[in-house]
Amino acid sequence: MSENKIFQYVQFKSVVAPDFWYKLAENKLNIEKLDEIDQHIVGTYTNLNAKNCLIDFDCTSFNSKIVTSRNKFGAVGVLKNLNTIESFKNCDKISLLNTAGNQLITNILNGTCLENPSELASFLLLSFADLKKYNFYYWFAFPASLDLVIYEASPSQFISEKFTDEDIKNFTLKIDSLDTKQSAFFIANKTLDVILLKDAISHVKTDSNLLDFDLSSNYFCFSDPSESKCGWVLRNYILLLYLLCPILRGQSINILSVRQSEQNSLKASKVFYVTLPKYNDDFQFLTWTSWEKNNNGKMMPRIANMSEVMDPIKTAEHFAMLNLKLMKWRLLPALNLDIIKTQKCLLFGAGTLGCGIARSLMSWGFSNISFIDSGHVSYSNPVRQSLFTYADAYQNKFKSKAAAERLLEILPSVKSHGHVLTIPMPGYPINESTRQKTIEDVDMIVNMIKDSDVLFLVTDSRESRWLPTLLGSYFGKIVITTALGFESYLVMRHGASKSHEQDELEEEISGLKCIPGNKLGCYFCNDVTSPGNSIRDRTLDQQCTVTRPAVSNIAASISVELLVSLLQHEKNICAPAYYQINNKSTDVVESIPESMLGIIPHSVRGYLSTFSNILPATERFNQCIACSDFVLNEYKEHDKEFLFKVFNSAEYLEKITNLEDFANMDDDIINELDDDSDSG
Amino acid sequence: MISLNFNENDFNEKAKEFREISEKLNDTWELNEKMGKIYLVKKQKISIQNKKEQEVEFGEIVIDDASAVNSIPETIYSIEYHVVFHPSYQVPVLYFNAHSDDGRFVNFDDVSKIFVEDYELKQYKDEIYQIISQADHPILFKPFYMIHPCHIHEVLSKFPESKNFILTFLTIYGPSVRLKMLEGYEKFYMEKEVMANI
Repeated sequence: MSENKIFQYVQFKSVVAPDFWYKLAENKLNIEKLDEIDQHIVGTYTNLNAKNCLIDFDCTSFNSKIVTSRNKFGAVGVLKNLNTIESFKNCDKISLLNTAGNQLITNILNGTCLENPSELASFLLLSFADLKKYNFYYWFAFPASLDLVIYEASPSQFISEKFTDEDIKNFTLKIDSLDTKQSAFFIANKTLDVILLKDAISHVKTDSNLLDFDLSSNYFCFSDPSESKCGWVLRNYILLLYLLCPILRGQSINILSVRQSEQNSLKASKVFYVTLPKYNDDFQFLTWTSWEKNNNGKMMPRIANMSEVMDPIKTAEHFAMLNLKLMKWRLLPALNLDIIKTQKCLLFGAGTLGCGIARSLMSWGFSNISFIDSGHVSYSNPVRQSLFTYADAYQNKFKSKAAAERLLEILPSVKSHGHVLTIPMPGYPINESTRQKTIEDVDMIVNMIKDSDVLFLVTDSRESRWLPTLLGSYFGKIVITTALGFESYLVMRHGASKSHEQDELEEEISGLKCIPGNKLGCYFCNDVTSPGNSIRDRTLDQQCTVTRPAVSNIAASISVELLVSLLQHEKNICAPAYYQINNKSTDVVESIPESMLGIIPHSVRGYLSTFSNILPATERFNQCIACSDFVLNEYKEHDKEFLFKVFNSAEYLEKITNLEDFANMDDDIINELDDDSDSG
Repeated sequence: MISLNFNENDFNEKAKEFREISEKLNDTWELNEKMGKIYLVKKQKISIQNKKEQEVEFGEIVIDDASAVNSIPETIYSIEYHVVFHPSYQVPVLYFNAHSDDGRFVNFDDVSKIFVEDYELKQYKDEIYQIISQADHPILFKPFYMIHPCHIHEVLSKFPESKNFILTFLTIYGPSVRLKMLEGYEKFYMEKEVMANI
């Protein structure tokens, strides 16, 4: 006998299938509810190409009958599914294990384990199902006596070293003919004839068990789920032998670990030689092991979060992102989807453009989209404004609220809010009765802009874009303006504010003029009059914007694609834009530097009459009434006091920017009128 | 391109033949049927070390057990492979799903990690996503990963001598998702041929 080398077993490792959790949740909700009854459940293990001593649990674990098949063996156990995380945390784990261990001893002594050897592979599962978050806290225990220690007698041998090929071949057939309950644990003689436990051992007169048995030529066999050292199930088999066969105490015995490989080979099977201890007759098996270790090797409970498959909201989110991920993997490995996901977008206006932009943003994976609009959904809206339905108009819902609700209906994981707010405008005087409300509105708008990354200006008038343009520039946000004419549209990104330092010079390309991102103009830079009340002087049909109906979808789509291109550019908001200096050279457009998604124009002007786009780029205008230093400084120094002066008289803007000098200049820019119709 | 002369009936026939050989080899392919459509299923487990588990913050117990092997912590992944005859591509397609030992499905971002070692991940991740997609299983109508079928027809047509196109298909496409074929299948057909020639 080698010097007292303790024989070691490989611990069971649980493998839980997703449908186990489905079934557990279903039972909890529909059957047990608030009861905490012990349930009998089963697990299975295999000795076919076995590795890692695994034990499987799936939805059939809750069946009353164990579903076993060739090479698949049952284990029996108890599920304790608790109602609260506190009881899960606080229940006495050691005492639970001891109870399970004592039950095992009872089952051995009363003959249950002889009749059904699968009872030796016993387990306990403690769990708490947090069905709001789809978190399953769980801990398996595989009880085994800590007190019973056996020793290696001599080195193990492969089955082929002990038995003839003929005997092994017959052995395979004999095992196959057994019920797996019996073939889990049995005895074989020197020619590998099978003897069932219940035929060899009695639980009544234990002293006479195995009296005539030649220990050197008989083998205690078990189907082994482990590939090198013996699996955990052997440990309780040894306990059974110790308890029921006193004659074995202090003796060396042969253990045959039966392991199947493909092609019905038993070549991986091994014979182990072990020595059993001999304790005093009144020795009690009192201490038990073991709770399962987690995948970091610590003996502690585990948690399985199943929300990705059990929570339909998470599932929808996942599949919404899937196409984007495939695009990334297949076509654009450098595509940064995270930046898209984290951008907070604020849409000024929830009309045709606002709805169209929101939908395109969602399809690109933007997950934070909010609206500011003061209007209600009217009956003329739903056919053009893709987030609204007849019912919204019938109920006279606020557009911003209805749009946000609809986004959540489309994809519940989106964050979206609708704010009913009037955007104060130059030349729309504030009287005493509205003053307090306006102050609050301005504060809210300022806070929302501070909290956003991207602003879309898609309101139905030019002057309502003034305040968000100023604030967007002041706080250094990405601002995209979109406006519609009858058959034309404009999409423009505003230049970065001066605070975006840009030292390096852009590369010079012949025939092209480059404007760095922080020198690009805003929507108002091209316009040399202050925004007055543009609606006041319009005829009725001009107040309702008359556009070719699908123009807005084109413009909305281009707005979002322009934003995405910009976000993917390494310089982000500071990405430069180019324009052609010399009209004669025609190929020069092709030499505009591209980023991952192509060129990033300053603006796109499209004309449906010719189905064409042009891409003008213009510089910041030093006297701009929305983004020039004059204006930004006034705002910085006088804040709302300045804003209110402008609301009360738009001419104040011309004064501070010295625009009065340009009084004679005419407005020769296309009067991009605007989106939307009825709320104006 | 050589035209391939097989249809769903041929697939069913070859699948049954494949399943029979599998049984002889004690391989574990099964034949499942749903609404008159059949498909092959195999389950397999792989173990991966060094996948840190997110832990709960309570309840650690220490038991000193001299009789227990101090195993290296590992994460076990169960993978279920399906070979399905695709109704629109008209070729066999390999579908699979995988879950870790706590029952969580492997998500799209991590699926490459179970097929290549960590040190190879940088290099092969992109390649793996060139071929793997997630799509509804055409018979079970549940989301599964699939090896994209666009070149299968072309690839299979290069083996006009193939005795069983499902075997040929799996031999070519299986290894990229850790599905290795036993030699016994080829041997079975070779021996069959020898017998026929005697």
